[in-house]
Amino acid sequence: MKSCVGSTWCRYGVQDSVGMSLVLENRYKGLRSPHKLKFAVSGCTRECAEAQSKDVGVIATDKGWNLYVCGNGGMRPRHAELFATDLDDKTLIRYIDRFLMFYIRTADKLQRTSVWRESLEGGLEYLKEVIIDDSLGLAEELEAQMQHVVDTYECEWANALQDPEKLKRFRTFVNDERGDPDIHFVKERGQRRPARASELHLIPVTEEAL
Amino acid sequence: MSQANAVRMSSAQLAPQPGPWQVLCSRDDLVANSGVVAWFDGAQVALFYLPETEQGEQVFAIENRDPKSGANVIGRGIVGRIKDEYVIAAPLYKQHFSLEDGRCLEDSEQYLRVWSARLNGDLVEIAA
Repeated sequence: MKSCVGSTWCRYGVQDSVGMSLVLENRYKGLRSPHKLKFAVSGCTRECAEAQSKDVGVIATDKGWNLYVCGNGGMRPRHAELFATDLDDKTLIRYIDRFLMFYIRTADKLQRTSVWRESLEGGLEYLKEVIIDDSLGLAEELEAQMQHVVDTYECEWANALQDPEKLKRFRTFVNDERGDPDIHFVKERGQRRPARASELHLIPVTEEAL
Repeated sequence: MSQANAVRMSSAQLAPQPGPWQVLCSRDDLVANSGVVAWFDGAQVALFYLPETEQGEQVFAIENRDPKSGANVIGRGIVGRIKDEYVIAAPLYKQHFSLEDGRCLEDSEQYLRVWSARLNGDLVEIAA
């Protein structure tokens, strides 16, 4: 999730992009999907958050939000396409719920939204029919599935820290307190980092024979 | 299969009675269908606990160092089964090692040391 500073801190901002990005981040965090998902919310048409290069891009208008989908940066850049305009907060989230769940249910393993969209028969118009006009009668189901994911979210790190069984897997040796004696560190820019194989001769013999 | 592996296998057949058994850790330290690592007299031993095999519950003890990457990560690999044989997939390059004899299924140059291991009540025992 990327956001510009929005109307709270910017004289150009027409909506609170930081607030909306927090809502979206918290709603979709932990979501399992065919590939990574990138989001951005820009607070005005100057587009400082570069939302048109994201899987889900939201750009503020003076009437609400414009939704862009299936953008990509990286090696094969693709501009996101304008999907719906001047949405209120509730409709924006409903469309994103439906869009993401439809993608998750139909995309191939490791297929980003941009490639999925290009392989989609009927293209953007078909996607609009399914998500906005509910041509397949799926909208309610997709929203319910997303709501279930949101309602059952838990932080897996916090969960592991509270569970002695899971913590067992984070010990180097189950029967000894020592760390892995074959891992060595060197200093770089005042910080430590793991040594490369070519640097191992620099490590004092006393330290090596731990 | 390389000469080295053939020798390893025949020596294992010549010594069907391993021992003496030494206590390594407790049953509670194991994670079912996955690996943990134990320190055994200067060696790093990856222990894989399979509670439901045809032979009942089994513990395999295999060298923790991945010869291809040089990192001590075999104990973090994923257990699988290839052609009726339990294997461990090395986490970095995904090559498979037999849990029975430590040979690499893709590369006859690579092999891992294996130890005899067993569950004795609540204890995990190993024989050098």
